[in-house]
Amino acid sequence: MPDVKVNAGLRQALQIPWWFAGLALFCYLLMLVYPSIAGTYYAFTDWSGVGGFKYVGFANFKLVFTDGEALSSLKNTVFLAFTTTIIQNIVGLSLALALNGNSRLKALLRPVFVAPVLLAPVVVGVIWQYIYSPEGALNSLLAVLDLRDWQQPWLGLPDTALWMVAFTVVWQFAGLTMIIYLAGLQGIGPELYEAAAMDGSGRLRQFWDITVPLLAPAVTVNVLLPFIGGLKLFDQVMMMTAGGPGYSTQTAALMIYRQAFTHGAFAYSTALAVVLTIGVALAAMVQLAVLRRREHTR
Amino acid sequence: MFALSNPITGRHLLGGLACLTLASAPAVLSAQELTMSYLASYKTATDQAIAGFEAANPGIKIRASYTADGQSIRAQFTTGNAPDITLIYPGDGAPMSLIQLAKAGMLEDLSSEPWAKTIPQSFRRAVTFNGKAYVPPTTYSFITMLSNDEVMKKVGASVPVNFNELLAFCDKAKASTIPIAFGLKEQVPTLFPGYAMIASTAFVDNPSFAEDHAAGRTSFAKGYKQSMEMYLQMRDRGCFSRTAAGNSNDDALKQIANGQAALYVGVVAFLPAVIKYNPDVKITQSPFPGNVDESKVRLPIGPTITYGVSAQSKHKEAAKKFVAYIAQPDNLRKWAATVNQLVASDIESAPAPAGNATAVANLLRAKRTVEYLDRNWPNSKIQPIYMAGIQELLSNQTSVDALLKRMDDVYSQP
Amino acid sequence: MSRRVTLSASLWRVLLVGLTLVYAIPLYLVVTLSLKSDGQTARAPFAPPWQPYWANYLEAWNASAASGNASLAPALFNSALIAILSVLVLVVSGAMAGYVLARRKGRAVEWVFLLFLVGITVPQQLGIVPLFQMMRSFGLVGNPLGLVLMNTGLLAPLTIFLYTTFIRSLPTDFEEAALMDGASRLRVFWDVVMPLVRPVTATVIVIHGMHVWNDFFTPLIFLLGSGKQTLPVAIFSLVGEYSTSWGPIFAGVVIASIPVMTVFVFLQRHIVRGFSGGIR
Repeated sequence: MPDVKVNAGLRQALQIPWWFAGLALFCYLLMLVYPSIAGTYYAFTDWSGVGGFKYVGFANFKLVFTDGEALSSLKNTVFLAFTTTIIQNIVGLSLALALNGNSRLKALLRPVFVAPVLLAPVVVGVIWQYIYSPEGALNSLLAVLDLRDWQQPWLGLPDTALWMVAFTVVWQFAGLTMIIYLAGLQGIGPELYEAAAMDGSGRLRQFWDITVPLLAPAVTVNVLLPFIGGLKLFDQVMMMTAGGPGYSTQTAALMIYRQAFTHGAFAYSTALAVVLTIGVALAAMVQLAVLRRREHTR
Repeated sequence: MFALSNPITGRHLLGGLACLTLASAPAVLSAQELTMSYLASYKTATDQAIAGFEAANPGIKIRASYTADGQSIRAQFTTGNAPDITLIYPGDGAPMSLIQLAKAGMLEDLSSEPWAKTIPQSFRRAVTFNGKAYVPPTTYSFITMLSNDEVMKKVGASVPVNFNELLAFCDKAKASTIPIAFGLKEQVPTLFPGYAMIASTAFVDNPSFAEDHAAGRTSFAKGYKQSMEMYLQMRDRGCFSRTAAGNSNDDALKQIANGQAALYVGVVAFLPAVIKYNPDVKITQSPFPGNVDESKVRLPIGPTITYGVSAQSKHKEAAKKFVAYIAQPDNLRKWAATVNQLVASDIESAPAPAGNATAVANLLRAKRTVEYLDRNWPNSKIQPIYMAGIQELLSNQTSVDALLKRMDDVYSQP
Repeated sequence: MSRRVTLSASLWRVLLVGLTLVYAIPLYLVVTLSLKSDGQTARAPFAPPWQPYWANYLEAWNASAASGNASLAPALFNSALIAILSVLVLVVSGAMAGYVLARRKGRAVEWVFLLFLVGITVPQQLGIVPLFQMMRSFGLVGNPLGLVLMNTGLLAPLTIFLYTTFIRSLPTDFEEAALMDGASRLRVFWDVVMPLVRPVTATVIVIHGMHVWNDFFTPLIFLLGSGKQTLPVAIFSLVGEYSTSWGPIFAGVVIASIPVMTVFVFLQRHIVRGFSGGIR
């Protein structure tokens, strides 16, 4: 039994000095905290990146909510976040349910769906840009299947282009969703299913009563991550359509980049970024509140 | 890490030092390496010029990057990673236009270069800013309408010479072919018929439209409305194929080359590409009939992209040498021949363009021409709005009035 | 083997086959198209390349090497440099910070932890303009080391969150024993704590290593045109240069993806464990 004096000394020694966090704090404050605060400040000015600037109050924010281009960017961003999250979860959960197990075949198939997760989003964008192009694989496939009427300029029509971007993102990340659901599924003890089977529950009943509630933590992650990722979408869109045709696939992140670096409207760009940040924070808070509650009440 | 049992002797050190010095000595005498960013469609001509320049100037090497559009180059200027030599669009309007970059102090003043003394009067406005010359005029181009002779014969029609004939032609031709090949997936092709129609309407009715606009006496809503409605008429009469919105400009060129389309509207620089896709194709050039009255049809012309030196460059003298090399008449002629455009200094004598283009040549000689519109647009926001707006207009996502209003709103912004 | 949740109705089989095709075909296309000339691609896009057109690879490597932004050789080097250094610094700085926040007592600790947490959801775009201005004044634009610094700051929140929560769940016995033996706190950290937090380190290496390797937005802004671009930026420029000549483009894509795919083949299990680490 260690005596009290030694205990106190140990406790004192385990008061790790602050300098352990020095490097991390330094980089974090310099690279994220300071620029974010400065960015929020610049959003209230008319700075164009060079020269001086003056305070203009909420003028930039008013512009964000009246400018057609900005509004459509926000609309596209929200649309992409919702559609990718929903479809990705459907596909990911289906894959997890179908590929849960140790058969040779399943072990062989799983990596096929995980591989795209590791590719650079830009690379995935290039691949699907080819597939959707007028002379690309999709139209060729339709020709082979004798469905020439269905051939489209997939990325060239405002209505279809955004959906195609959504499908591309889902294609890339459904494998990640699958992995997380698989981890969740494997944490469910088989005795629960056995007990339910003995009570006479069918497969579907077991699914709803056992699987779904116990997957709640996985659901939390699988709803939060794709949604936030969807709100920040940049790489794939920049590669596939650069926001076109017109501005019909421009996302908030894309517009922020364009306004700052191609048009030099630095202040306007940061105002848009502030709006995006608030949106992301709200989405995260709402989702965490709802999903965490579900985790605990089941 | 190295075993201490083999101490490095002074002799080894000296030898090592000597090797290092010899290895790095070439770095001192070695080539200056310049970076250049240019338009991918001018790659052949530029590569040719670079080869000639490097042969004449051993000690200078140029590494060129090519892009499909200039927006990422503009971003490089903003971030301070600008290339030494860059593409520049004369005049104003585009993010990579002369006025925009010169205003922001990003271009090197080249007024003391030899070629700066001999700039033709017609192009002075497009290549200078505040009296200083920044880029040499290279060639000038015009917007032309290419017609595939075989397809026209198959349709049984002659090239339309006024707008009503054009619409009638679309009605007739759409049953058997694509009347006008159009790369609507990209933004720049929207400018080609657009400029032609605006030049033949707004600028014919009021030759000083640009000046009046700048003075606030007129607006886009007043001047450009007719041309936008004409665009809609073309769409409604089936001039463009159903898949136009998914076609790149390259696809449209392939269509006219391979006989899948009857007409194509674009800058004359695209003609060599058409011929490359189908060396046997027979093409006639005519002005785009942008007005119902043939006598009011105007040809949009403008000095084409040229080369500028970045103000941030660390190799300014070498970069200036390259620009001067391009501006030399012999080299310029070679460059112009490769891109199938007319040398700028020839504008006064207006020789006929190559190929079957008598109608175009007539307009040039009669000086029934209008400068490319974006030369007169005072900021870089208008052109993207126009281009995207036409795309939206043709896909029913916006209205003529809404687009005109957006353009007018943006005209007066800095 | 214990019973698992499996569904074997034929409907599932059809779905699975369909999805497998949707996933396998694009990957197949990338490789085959990289070995076809433009003519072959136009005529028969799905056919295997019976006569491999290796010229595409030469083109993607050499031609782009002669040019600037699309050069793949420097891109490979810079991607590797930035990824390795970033992950190294992240792991060390993050673990050390996590150690403080996990072990130290006091109100300040909670505040600092919260300060880091806030950064998890802040999008990069918010501070990108002032960050860019700052890096420019330091002369670090166009410098890969600048990117290493930025990654350390931007990816610190999640890293520190993972380390802090994990270390908090560890009993302090080993550390106390080492301290009693007279080890310094730095020693204790290196010899006792670091080995114990290996699962988190693996997760950080996988998730952040991949993120940095595939990062596009920040290198696009800071490295485009500098001659020191990373692979994603090089691919972007390659497409801009070759537009619809898919052969060289996909050859470039294959070259750029070989490192990642190689790591995946050999370290698959670790990677999957790294991703699902947050769930258990």
